[in-house]
Amino acid sequence: MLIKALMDKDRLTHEDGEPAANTESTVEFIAPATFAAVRVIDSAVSNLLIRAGADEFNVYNVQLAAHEICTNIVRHAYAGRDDGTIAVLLRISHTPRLVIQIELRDQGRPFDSQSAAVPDFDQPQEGGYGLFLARALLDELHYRCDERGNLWQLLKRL
Amino acid sequence: MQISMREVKPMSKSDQTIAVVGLSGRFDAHEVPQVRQALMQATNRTKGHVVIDLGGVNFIDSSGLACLVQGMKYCREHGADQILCNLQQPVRIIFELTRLDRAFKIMVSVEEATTALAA
Repeated sequence: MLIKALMDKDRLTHEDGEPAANTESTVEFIAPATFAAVRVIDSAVSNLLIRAGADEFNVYNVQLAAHEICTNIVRHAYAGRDDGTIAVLLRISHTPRLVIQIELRDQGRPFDSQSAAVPDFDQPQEGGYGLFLARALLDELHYRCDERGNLWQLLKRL
Repeated sequence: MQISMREVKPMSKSDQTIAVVGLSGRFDAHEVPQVRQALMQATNRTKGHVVIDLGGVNFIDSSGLACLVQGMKYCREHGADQILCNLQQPVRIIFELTRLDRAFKIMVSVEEATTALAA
């Protein structure tokens, strides 16, 4: 089983199917840091957003932003290692505006911001669009490295 | 991801065969190795142009985009051209965000792409 732990607090909708006001739901799990397992994280993000009533484009865009950060963790933070994990925390709230916060934590190599230049849009590149896309699709994207490893914090107001 | 390939011989003065590669499903980092191989095989087999039908692709990430850039460069190195067609709207938006819609030849349908390549 890919997911080690799954916790889903609080209901997101009333019984009539309408999104509930001022509610919060949190999902936490740990996934292996592999390209295949990134799809599990993608599904968790999209399922949570669909349940909360997000439209198709926002579901796609937030899912892609989280996917790009996870892919970078697999490819760069854990480069070549197959024993890494990604701790995922998804928090969605209606306050009453729908907001999704995503935290992705890993114990791989620290992120090198020097390697994340804006792509050269005049020359099609064989890489380097991932972080650009994540930034473009989110309202906030933060990174820090502490004693527990790397932490990416993503936020989108819908 | 599903990958299909067929060869089209357009009615034109040129007898060059066009490879039509159809992709469907999620086109992400997990799928890139097999798509890259399929695109190289398509170019090598026909020694000609490649049309990539993305009509069934419902999700593309930056690794998928990079794979298509590689495919385009590989085609050009072999004196051929690559055309993308049938992009779903959410996928098209990602091309626009990265401005790769200006780098690739993108057409509405496979028919339009094969006609353009045969001209």
